[in-house]
Amino acid sequence: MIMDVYYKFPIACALLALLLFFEGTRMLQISGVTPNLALIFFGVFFTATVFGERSRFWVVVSLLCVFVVLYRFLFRFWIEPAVLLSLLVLGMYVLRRKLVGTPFLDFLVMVVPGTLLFYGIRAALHGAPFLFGVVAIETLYNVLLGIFVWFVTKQIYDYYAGRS
Amino acid sequence: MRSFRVFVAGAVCVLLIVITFVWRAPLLRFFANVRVALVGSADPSFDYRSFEKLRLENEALIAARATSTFVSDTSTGSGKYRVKEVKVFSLYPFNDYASLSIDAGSDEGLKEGMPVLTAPGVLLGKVVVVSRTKSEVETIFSPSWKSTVSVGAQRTRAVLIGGAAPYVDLLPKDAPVGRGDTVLNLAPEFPIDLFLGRANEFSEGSNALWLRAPVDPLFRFEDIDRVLVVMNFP
Repeated sequence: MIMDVYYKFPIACALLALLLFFEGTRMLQISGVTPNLALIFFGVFFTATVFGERSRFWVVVSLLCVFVVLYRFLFRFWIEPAVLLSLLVLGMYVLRRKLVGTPFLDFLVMVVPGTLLFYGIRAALHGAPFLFGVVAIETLYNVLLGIFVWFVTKQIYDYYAGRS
Repeated sequence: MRSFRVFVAGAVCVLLIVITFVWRAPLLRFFANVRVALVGSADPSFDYRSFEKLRLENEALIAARATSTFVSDTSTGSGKYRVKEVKVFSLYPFNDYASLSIDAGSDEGLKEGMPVLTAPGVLLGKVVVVSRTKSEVETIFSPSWKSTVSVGAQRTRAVLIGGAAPYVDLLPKDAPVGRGDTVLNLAPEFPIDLFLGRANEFSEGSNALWLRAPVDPLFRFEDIDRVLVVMNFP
């Protein structure tokens, strides 16, 4: 179990860095809307059975720290959204036992309120209008992309789990 | 054997993360170029980025000819304003704001409030935060952006509201405006008559007293890889 974490954790960090590069160049932008790849990543990470249950909490906290540090180095500015997103993800992790219980549905439950809460809190903090149209499109985009990523991750994991 | 595989996998990923830290700027540019290559892949002989720049410069020249305003390029050294070309470091990654970080800061003489252009004569935004080696630029694609503009040949005053799709608002209902009219800057924070885009379909605003119209800036936020900072304004 611990051995697994030692090589899965760096892989997760490398994947996170790659996703942040995608975000920093708006690689997947469609009609001015870019998906929240970090939220999708953490959604998949929580609900797909990748890490053992016992090691999850410190792995999650460590990964969130890595996310904030990578974000700071890659973007230099805009650290507040990264911290907010990390706190949201951590909150969802703590509340995960209250979710549906089915991994895939849990994933959807995390992505949809996660997106809405992220922009809702940002708007409230800055006294800015809540851009409902943009947020609705992004939520849909996150869900569609998340479903794709979720199934691909699950297939890869099942394949390697079956082999070992 | 398994522990060796674990070690190799871990080492490779740690190496990847170190590379991420050390070469983050060229890597970001690489991913931006990949994006441009994918967009232009429909026609391999077509350089999408150059085309966009030419189109923008053409529009800006048309606008400048109409208003006798000219902003110089650093290479020519002529004109009223001195500009500095700066590479874009990264784009704000979420959808509630539209700013970018550029690869120059106070060491290069940048200051808060300096106007930023996408091409000579084409306004993109302004410098809002300056650190030693990087700066943040708020753009017209940011929902918090508001500035005074003129629309059309009669130079009717209006307000440009930023966002993923910027638009002009508060135009009088009887204003002599039409589809395709140029939108030029009137805000005193920037050189006058900088080109902002072309107004499209005019329609009644929410209270039926004013007209509004979406503005096509003729470039896309995600395609910007270099900007020009006006160094001697005001």
